[in-house]
Amino acid sequence: MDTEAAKLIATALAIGLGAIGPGIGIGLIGSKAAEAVGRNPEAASKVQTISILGIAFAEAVAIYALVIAFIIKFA
Amino acid sequence: MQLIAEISIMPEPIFSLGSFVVTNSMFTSFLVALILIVSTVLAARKFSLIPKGFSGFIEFVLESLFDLGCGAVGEKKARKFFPITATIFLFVITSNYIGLLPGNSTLFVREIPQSEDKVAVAPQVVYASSASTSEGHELNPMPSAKDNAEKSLESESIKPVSDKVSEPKTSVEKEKFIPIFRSPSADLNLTLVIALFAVCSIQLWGIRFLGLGYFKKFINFSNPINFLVGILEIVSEISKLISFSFRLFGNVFAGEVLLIVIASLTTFIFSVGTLPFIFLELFVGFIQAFVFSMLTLVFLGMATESHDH
Repeated sequence: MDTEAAKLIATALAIGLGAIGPGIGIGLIGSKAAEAVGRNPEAASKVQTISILGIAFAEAVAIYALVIAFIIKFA
Repeated sequence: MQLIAEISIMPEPIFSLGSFVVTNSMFTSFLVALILIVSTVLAARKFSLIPKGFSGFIEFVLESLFDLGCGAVGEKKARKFFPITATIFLFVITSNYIGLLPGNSTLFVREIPQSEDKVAVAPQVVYASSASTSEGHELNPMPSAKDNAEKSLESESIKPVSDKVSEPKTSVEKEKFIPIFRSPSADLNLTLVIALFAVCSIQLWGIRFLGLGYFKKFINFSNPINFLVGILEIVSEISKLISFSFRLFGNVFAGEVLLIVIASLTTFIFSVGTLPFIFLELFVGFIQAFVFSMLTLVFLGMATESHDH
C-alpha cells in the first residue's frame, strides 16, 4: 500500500469513526429535549437553548475528527 | 478539477506591505470590521425612542441577544458581559456570512513570486515572461470554470488532490490563482484569537468578581480530591480554548469545502443544486455564532459564581 492509499483510508476512517459517537450523542440530546418539551411546553425556549448548547458540545467532537481528516488529506 | 486543488487549510498571502504579508482571510476580516463599524455608525446616527428602518433592525438584534443573556445568567451579569458576547456574536456571524457571498472563491489574484523562496533563478524568468504575455485576465474566474465544465462533461471522476502533488515541481509555469476573499472563520488563526479573547476575559471577570479566591478553583490543597479537581479545572480551561477555536474553524471550513465540492460535481446550469447547501450553511453560520457567544456567556457566568456558599 502506498502512502496515498493509506492517506485516503485514514481520512475516511478518521471522519467515519469520529462521527459515530457524536451521532449517538446528538440523537440522545434531541430525544430528551423533545421529551422535555412534551412534558412541559412552557419551558420550550429554555430547553431549546440548553439542547442547542449540548448539541454544540457533542458536535464539536465530530468537528475535531473532521479537522483531523482535513489535515490528513490536505496537509 | 482545478477548484478542488485550490482548497487549502491555511490562508494564502495575496499581497504584502513591506515585510508584512497580508493573507486573504486577514484582508476579509478587516472588511468584516469595516462593515461592523459602518453599520454601527449608520444605526447610531440619529437616536430616537422608536427607531425605524436599519437602526430598528440593529436594536432588534441587540435586544434579542440581551434577552437571551438575561435568560442564561440573569440581568445583572448579562448587562456586564453583554459587550463581550455581543461583539463575539456579531463578528463571528458577519465573518461566517461573508464567506457565503458570491465572489468569495471566484475572484482570484496570481500568486506573488516572492512568497516562494525556493524558486530557482531560471523558472522565475519563465514566470515573468508568462505573466507579461497573459496580462489582462487577472480577475478572470472563467478558465477554472470552463476547465471544470469540460472535465465533468467528459464524465471524469473527481481527481484526487494528490494529482497536483504528484506532478513534478514545475508549478511556476502553471498559473496558480489565490482567492482574494476567504471567510475569516475558515482560518484557524482568527478563531484561535477569538477563543483566546473569550477565555482571557472569562479569567479576568472571574478575578474581578471573586478576587484572589478565584484561583481556589485551580490550586487547592485543602484535601486530595480538591487538588485533583483543581488540575482538572486547569485542563478544562485549556480545552475550552481548543474546542472554541476548532469548533468554529471546523464548521466553517467544512462548509466551504462542501460548497466547493458540490458546485464542482455539477456543470453550469445544474449548479442550482448548491442552493440547499447554501441554506444549510446560513443555518450553520448562525448556530456557530450563537453557540460561540452563548458558551462564552455561560462560562463567564460559571467563572463569576462563588463556590463556597
